[in-house]
Amino acid sequence: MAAETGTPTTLTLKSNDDELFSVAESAAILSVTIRNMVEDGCAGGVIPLDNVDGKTLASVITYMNGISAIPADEEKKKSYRDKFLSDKDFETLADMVLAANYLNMSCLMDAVSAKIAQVMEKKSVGWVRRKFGIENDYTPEEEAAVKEEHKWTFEGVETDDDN
Amino acid sequence: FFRYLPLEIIIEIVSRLPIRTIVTCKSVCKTWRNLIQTRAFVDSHLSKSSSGVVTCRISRYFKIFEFVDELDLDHHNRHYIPVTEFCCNKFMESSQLEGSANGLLFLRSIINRNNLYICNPITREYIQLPYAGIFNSFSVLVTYGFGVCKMTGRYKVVRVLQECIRHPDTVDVVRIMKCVCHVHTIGTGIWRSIAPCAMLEHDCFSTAINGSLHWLVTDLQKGFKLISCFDLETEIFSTFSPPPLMGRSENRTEFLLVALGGYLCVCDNTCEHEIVIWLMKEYGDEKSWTRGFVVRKSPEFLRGNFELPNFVCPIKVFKNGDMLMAWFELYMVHYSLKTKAATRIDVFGPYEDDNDNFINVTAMLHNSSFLSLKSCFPMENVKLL
Repeated sequence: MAAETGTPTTLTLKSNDDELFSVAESAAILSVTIRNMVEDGCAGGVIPLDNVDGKTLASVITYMNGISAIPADEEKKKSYRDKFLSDKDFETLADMVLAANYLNMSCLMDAVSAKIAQVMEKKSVGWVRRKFGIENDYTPEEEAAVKEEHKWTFEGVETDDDN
Repeated sequence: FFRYLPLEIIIEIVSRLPIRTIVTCKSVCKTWRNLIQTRAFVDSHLSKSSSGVVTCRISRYFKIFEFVDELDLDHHNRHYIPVTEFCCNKFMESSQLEGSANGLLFLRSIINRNNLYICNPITREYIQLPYAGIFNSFSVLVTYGFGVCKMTGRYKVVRVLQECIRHPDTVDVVRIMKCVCHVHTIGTGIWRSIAPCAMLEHDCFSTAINGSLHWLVTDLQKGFKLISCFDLETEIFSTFSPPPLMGRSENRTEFLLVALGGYLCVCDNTCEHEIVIWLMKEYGDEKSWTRGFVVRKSPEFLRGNFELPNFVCPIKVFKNGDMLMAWFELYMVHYSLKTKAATRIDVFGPYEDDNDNFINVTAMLHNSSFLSLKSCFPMENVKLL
């Protein structure tokens, strides 16, 4: 049980590659995973986050600090999120969505998922397979059949050699 | 270096894509194709997508659209994205669009009025509802409604049969003698008898909102309008009052019940220069009727040389206040709140078989969905379009 008076205002988070980060508790508890640890009294020392690397955690903390500094104004929060994600490449976004899922941060999860969806929108099937590390398990005949089934969707898609 | 994203995250991402891109994603691999057919994906997608529109031309050609980025609507034509289209075939007769709920359409044949279909245009599946008798339309009014239960998510079709007496000269219905109501829950294959509605003339399409169906009905004895409401979950009928000022109206077609922006609305077409839309601010509270939008009827509404009522039915309100409307049953218009101008939306393009420009377009809100009729309703005889 957490003692009311002994709750620290700053938490120390440790990434899976052993980097340490200090973050205000008020910002860190945007993560339900961290909030539960704080409420269970497990936040006294260092909080290990075994599924997040240092680079990603640094980015998530930047987001935590940035978004919690904005008062309750959904428009401003949205524009902060848009700006925060605007320069992230696909690999970074994939790391962030995994971190947001592990940390149970629904607002970041929604924003990153939407951003990845936006990036994917006009991309070819080949691009999606490469970026998501998926092997094509269709035979050429099967793939042709799937495309034939919904051929009306293949207009306006970029060609396969883009990246 | 690569970290595979777990399937729950793939659902989060892919369910946010436009329909056509999701279909493209079926080609990525077998796992993704199967994932898109799961109930988890279907539900995630329905909860995230906003309403598009289904339009039907001369009861044969159906087209479905979705909208992008509702906040930037200045160039509205770009925002009507075609999703898919289909056409009635020899198995599914030419049909009237009578309802849309959570991805499924309810269609009623115009050839044999007793033939009813449920169709998902995305999965290209349809089922024909069980036959439930033949009704003489002169002595029996037959009205249908289609919707989805709020809690259980069950799809239901309700049928209101009303034995009536018509005026010998005008053939208008003058009296309702008896009401019989049935419900068909999709997937069960049967029509069940339920407690009937009140003896009020139900003779219009239903409007679904808040887990209930609504009809603008007439009390023929007293000569005034009421709203008949059917709770799809409890299967109980009730009535409430329409907005003030429309108690006694001789012309039945000038008032329309619509669902706009989450409100039950009555669209008043009686005025020559403007359309008044009344909102029921608090659902079910008769005192909360509020004069909401007023749309000026501009010359665009009057285009064409034929003599037809100057009659408008709103379909969707966008975030910026713009409105998509159907003008009579001829075409759709996009009404700009800023400029007060209406622009025609040509969803079907020019057709060679148009007689005197009479296009006969009906349109309603529609959320596209990947819900597979075959896997959801294994008992039904699911056919492909």
